[in-house]
Amino acid sequence: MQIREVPGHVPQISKKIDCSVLHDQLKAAQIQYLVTLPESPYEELLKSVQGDGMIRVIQVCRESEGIAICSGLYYGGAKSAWLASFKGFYNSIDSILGVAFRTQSSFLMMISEAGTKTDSLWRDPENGRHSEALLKCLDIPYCVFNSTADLSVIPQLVSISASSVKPIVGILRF
Amino acid sequence: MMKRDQCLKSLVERRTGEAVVAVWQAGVEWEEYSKGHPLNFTAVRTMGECSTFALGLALARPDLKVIALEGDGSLLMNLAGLVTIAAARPKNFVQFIFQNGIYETTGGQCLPNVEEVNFAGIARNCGYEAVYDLHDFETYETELDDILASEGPVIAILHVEAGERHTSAIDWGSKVRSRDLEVVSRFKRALNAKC
Repeated sequence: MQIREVPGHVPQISKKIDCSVLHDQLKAAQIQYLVTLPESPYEELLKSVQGDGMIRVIQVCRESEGIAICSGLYYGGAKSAWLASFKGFYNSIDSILGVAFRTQSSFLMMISEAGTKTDSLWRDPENGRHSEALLKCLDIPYCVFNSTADLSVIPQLVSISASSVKPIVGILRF
Repeated sequence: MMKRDQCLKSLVERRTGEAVVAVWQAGVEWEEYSKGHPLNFTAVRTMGECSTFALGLALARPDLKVIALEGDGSLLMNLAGLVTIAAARPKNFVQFIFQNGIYETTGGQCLPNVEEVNFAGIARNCGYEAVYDLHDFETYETELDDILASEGPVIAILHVEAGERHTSAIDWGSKVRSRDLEVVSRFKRALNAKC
């Protein structure tokens, strides 16, 4: 994945989740591939991962592709993480059911969810408040990361996913 | 024009140690002709994601040639996957597209505007390393060894008529989906054994 500097662009840096710690936790979980469609809340993470070179970034054109790629990576013996926005999660549900579940694949899904219940945007129909309900409906275990301290469970989540041979989710509330 | 089953039978004969990810009608025929080979995988059930699953496998296993077999309807469900695959540049990846212009499993409905679509041209412009656009069986037979030996990502667009019918949509659940768990276990074991 190439990243170009865009004149006037102000990087979105989260005050709640430190992307360098998130990067470290992915490495601690021995993640080898980060499969993603870039979004502004995690641009800092993508720069960090790209710069480090320990984790290969696979860029997709549509988030649902990433679910199938992570499943294939799992069959090849590689640990991967999928990273997308909540809308990317919504458009990936068919792939989660028809590929990840059907093929019994293990990988970490990280859903970036903008806003919290206290934000004025929370009631926006296109905001991320449906993610938890959908995950419960799909019977996918998940954790919510509201702060940097919450990220320490990532290696444990990856282990749980491996033993249950199904994806596991971390919701990132940047 | 070729028949899909002709092409698959010929591919079975030339197969060496490749993993083959095949879906829908191509998957049913492939299983039939290759006699349940342990490196066959037919359990991907989301249209458009056969080749992206195969991409993941190819990236994680550079020691293994990975072949994806899917129809033009499936390709159209995720045309952007061509760009993703070309960008990832898997050298050990070969994709066969059976272009018959119809959704065969659901009753032969025509794909939209498919006579005008040039899949080979699209793949070439996406950045595939090697692109084959084949209309007759003799040429396919001649090119097949090159297709399999070329450095990927490789795509071969095969202009075909429908092949032999091994299952109907009604039988799909009982005859095909019910075997998915067996296919999943078999494929995992075979990949581990080939490490």
